[in-house]
Amino acid sequence: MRLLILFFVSFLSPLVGRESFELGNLPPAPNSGVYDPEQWLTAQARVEIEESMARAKLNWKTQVFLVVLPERPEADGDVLARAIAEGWGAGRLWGVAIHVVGDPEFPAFYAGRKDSFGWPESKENEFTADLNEALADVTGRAMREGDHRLQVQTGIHELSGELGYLGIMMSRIDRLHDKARGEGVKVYRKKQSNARFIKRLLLVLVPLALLVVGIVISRIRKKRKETRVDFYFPETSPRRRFRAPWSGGGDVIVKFGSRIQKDGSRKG
Amino acid sequence: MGKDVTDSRKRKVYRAKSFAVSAMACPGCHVTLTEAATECARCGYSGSHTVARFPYEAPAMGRFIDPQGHFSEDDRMRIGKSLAELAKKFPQPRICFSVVDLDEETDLREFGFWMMNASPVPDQNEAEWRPWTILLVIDDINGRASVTPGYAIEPFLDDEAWADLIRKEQMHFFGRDYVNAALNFIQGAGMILNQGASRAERKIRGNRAVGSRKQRKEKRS
Repeated sequence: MRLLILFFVSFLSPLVGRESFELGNLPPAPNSGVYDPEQWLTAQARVEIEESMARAKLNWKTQVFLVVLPERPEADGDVLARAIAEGWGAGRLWGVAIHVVGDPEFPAFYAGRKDSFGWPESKENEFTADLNEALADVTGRAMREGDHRLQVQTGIHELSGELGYLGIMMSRIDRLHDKARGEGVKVYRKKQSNARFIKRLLLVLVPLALLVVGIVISRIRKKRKETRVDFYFPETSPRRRFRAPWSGGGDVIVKFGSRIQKDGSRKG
Repeated sequence: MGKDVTDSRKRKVYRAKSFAVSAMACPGCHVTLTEAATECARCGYSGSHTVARFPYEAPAMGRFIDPQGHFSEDDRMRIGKSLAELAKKFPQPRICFSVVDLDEETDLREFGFWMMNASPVPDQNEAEWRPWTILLVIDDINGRASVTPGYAIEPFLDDEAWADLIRKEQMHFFGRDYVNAALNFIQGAGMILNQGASRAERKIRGNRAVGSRKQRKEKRS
């Protein structure tokens, strides 16, 4: 009885031990980036693969994953690969190799990028084309190997290298774009600053100009008045007072220094 | 404005009060009068008081009343030219210069008042000029100067402006450089007359505007 139970357990355990690898139900990300629960890879191959992946991650910030599955997933390879990359925290550039053990259509290699790097559209498109080309090269080189394990190993190695190279390109474009953006921002800011300066200048200059014009006009008018010719004052009914016929007198008097000295003599 | 005003002058005689900027003052006690009166309400002063104050014949009014000869012929010519220039702008007013020696107790303003009214008016010509006369009296010995205007030009003049003008020329007056004092006085007089003219123009324009508004209102009603 015990033998029977052991038989069923040993028979069933692979089935029980297999995690379901489906969209929306991914297992947690493996630290090394290799998902091979049934240890299909040899130890040596695993080490080399993990080294390639680690190098890519460290040097070029490129994340590569390997998923070895016992059977074909239901999801489409592209979709699953993106789900793996995004679910397992890949950065802006990623690669995923999926191998289904014993399936002649595998391994399959996938690569992808964040939807937008914020570059100009032409640069984005160019990069995507380079990425697709690189992926095609990786697949071509990997499939030259006769053995699935070697295909996987070569594929991961090539994928890490190609994505690493693209990662460098990406950084360069980022730098150039930031510089251009920075200069663009500088130019924009300078334009904004110039516009603000001009606005402030106008706010000061326009009233000043109006003031100057006003003063000039006022002076011209004053000058015109000063250069009156033949002005006649209107006739008025005189304010006769004190029985004086011609003038009522004035109230203006100004002293400017007597000639009489203190001793009563006259100077000058 | 000249011809306009002449036409207006023929058509309309304005109230002096409507143009006047300077107050009337009693030549005797110098109190300010609110209305023209035959004698001062405070001290009872009138023109007849001057007869006793100045019991001698007043000199004839002329451009230069200068018994001591402070103005040379050249001085008179220079001043005459300057006055002629002023007359091109303002044909009506006449400026006269009198340099006398008075007693210290004599009030120069009262003296000016007396001269303007007691000085003989031999003909119609002088009768027309006298109300438009601006008399600058300089008391040489006591170092004083005063301005007395005739009735016709008086409403358009600002006493403060005359006082400022003489003070500005104090150096020339103090130095008894009467020719330059006179020349600068004429220049200053031109500005004062100009200001008076501007005020008069504004006043008349304002009156016309009020008049036409009144007419339109009457027409409507």
